[in-house]
Amino acid sequence: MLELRHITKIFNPHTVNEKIGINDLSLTVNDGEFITIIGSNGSGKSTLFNLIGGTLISDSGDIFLDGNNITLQKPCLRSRSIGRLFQDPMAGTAPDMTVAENLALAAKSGGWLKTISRSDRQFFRQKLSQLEMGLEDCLDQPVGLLSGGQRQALSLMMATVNPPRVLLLDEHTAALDPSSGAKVLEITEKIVTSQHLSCLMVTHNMADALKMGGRTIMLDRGKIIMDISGKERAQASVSSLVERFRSTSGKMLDDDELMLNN
Amino acid sequence: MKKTLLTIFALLLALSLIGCQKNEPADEDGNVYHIGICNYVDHASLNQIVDNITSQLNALARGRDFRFEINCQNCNADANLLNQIIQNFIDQKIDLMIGVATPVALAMQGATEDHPIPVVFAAVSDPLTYGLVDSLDKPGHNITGTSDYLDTNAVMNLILALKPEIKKVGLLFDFSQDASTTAINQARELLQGKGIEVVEKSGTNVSEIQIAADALIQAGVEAVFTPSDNTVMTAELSIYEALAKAGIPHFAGADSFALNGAFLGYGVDYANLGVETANMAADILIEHLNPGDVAVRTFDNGIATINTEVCAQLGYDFEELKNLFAPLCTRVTGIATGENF
Amino acid sequence: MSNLLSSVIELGLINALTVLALFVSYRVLDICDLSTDGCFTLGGAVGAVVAISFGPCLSLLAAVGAGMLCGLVTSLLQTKLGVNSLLAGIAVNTALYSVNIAVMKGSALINLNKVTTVFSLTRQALINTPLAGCQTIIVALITVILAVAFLNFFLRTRLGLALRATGDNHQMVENSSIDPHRMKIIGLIISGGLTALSGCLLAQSQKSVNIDIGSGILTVALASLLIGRIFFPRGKLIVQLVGSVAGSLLFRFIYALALKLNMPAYMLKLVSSSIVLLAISLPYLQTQYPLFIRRLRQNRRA
Repeated sequence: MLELRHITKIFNPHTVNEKIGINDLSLTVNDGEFITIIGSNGSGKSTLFNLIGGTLISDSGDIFLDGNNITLQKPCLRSRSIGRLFQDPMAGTAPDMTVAENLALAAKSGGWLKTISRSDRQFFRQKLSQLEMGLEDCLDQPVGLLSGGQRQALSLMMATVNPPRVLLLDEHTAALDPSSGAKVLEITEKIVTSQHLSCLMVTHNMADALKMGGRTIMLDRGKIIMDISGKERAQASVSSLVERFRSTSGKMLDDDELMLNN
Repeated sequence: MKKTLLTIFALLLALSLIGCQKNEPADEDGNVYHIGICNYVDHASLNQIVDNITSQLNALARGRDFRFEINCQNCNADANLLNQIIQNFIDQKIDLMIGVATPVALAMQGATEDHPIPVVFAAVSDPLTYGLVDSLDKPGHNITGTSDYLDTNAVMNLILALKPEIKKVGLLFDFSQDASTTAINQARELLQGKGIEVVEKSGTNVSEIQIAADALIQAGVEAVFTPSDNTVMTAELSIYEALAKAGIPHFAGADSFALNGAFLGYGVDYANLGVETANMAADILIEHLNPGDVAVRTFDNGIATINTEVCAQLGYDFEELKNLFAPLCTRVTGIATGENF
Repeated sequence: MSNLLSSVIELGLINALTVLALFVSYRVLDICDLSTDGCFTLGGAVGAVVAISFGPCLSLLAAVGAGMLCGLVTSLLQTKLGVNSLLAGIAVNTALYSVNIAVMKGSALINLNKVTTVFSLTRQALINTPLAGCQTIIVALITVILAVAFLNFFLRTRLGLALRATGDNHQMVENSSIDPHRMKIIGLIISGGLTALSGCLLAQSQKSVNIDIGSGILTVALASLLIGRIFFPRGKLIVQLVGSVAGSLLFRFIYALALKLNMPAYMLKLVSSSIVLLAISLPYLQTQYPLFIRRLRQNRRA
């Protein structure tokens, strides 16, 4: 279970460039919950993920993962329990290394001095065939030669081969073409539900946000302005979300990307 | 493409293994003797030696039925370049190598371990201590030459003659110059034996020698001694003014120091040393002598050269000094400051 | 000619160890480590001093240890003190000048003429065998083969993969459970050890070590690495490692060709770097040539 308590993060405090990243945000993610997060640009979505992942340290407030206070923990220590995917399909894999080598890094089986064995390759092949993207035949190909969709699918597999406590998906299909994106989303849903992972997914597609998972959160200027689940969410529509936004934040939701994607 | 490259490399490796077998000594190409000279660093004494070697070799060959092909190189105190130059000599099947100064001689000794080319060294202060020869009379291997061994005691006597009540003497040298080590040890012993305080400062290149000289001036020494040290020699032009201004006479182990501004240079006649080195080389080649049987030549090192300008600056009268030093030297001469002879 | 060839291969193999060190630090980890010159000299200095008192085998171990320490210091400056990698290398390189002279007990030169070296030991062992006289090549070859085998194994272990990933995609590693700082430290330690071993072997082979023995070795090794990369651009790890060694041999070969042209010794470096530049730019020019011809034709038509 992931718990954020009164997290605040201000960039360049006391200067002319001061910007509030996250403003006294509290959030509880229960085990197995799949939460979609929407919000206009600059609302703090990436900052939130950076705070959870450890790239940024909050100015105040605490983050608890399964009861442990991880607020000040280094990213490499947090990464054992928190998996992350980025918008850029190139960010999650090492391009000059082969598919098998990338997976071996993520799988972390055996000691530091262990090389990739035949049984490891069997395991990788079996896991990759579940993705149905043909990756199981590309074990010895450098990842740099794969398409964006294949790389993102591989990144997803790498993040979940050892099931993490929380999975953070930061618009991970936004840079892919529609069919690859849809395929990766499909794989995402399959993996998250089959492994009962807790998952936070940022998306610009409001329809997807309402369709996937069981809870939707909307951020604006570092605060959660909407948190719907259950029946309320089932009855919500895109236009009602837009109206909800206007009434809560006092301005029109005029984020082009958000509007044009729906 | 890859396969051809791999085969080429395999061939190169095989060729080299054949090539590293013991080489046979080169035959003289008719009446031409190939000599490789390697100078250590560019300064007045060593340049003087090389000039005299080449002119003497040419003089010896004039009107005779042989000639010398001389390949003259300078390694500029770069040990990597030195090894390259020597390898090149060996590869060009040189008949004899002449090494000027101890570092060059030592490098030639190492390189000729497997290729028995005769080596004649010039201006090596102490060939015995550095293992270049088994004994001065019978060197024993393929190396012999001329030595500019310095009588340190004589220089100390000169210092004491100039300043009988001297209390503090500075020793300026390069720790790694083989020419200096023995002489400095001797100087230290002699001076401390007489109850004189010794301040030692060393450096490995020109800038460090400048710092060392400044440090000696700060320490308030009344005279400075340097043996025939090549590193200090290359720095002499940049330190002599400071020493003269501070009223400190600089006694050194070669006349080239005096040329470059030291108060007094005491040592061998390097022009003559060069000539004798050439004679030795020519004898070995023409008479087919074994270098191991040719004794190392040492020279009378009793020639004192005083820099007249610095002498005046320090407030001494040249003629008076000449009389003062005469009983301690073979000869006293004066010289004006200059870069090369 | 074959004497020159054997010295090319000897020097090429000894330098190949530094090239392999740069393979780890530059090609795998993508760090520009400018402390190579000083580390190389450190290996030579420590190796010489230990060889005089404790024998040649201990001298190799001591040199490797000293090099690893040097790599550790450079990496700690970058990881713990946040010093930029170029500056850290420069700082360590400068400091090593004093350290090296101190190791050589205040001297700028140590002679190993009368000291037992691994080469003199091997030479003794090879008397009355068909390989007599080839001790330098054999020792260097064995060392290079061992180094290549070690790297080929190590870079395919999980730790090695983590190292490669750190250099390949820093962002990915920062967000994974791999600690990029630890990887940097391990990588620079290995690279330092190899560089110092190279310096120690060179000192033992030329029977002397001087303070300038490492001067310029970084440039030589980088050029060799690049030359190797041109001829062996991709492929399995073992091919790339052997390619780096080949690059070192090729560079030395080019240098020896420059020697063949009768010119003053100080011109050697200019000539050899010109030849190296030509060798490196030739493949690029080859790719540009068709486009150049097309443009020429187009201009002619217009």
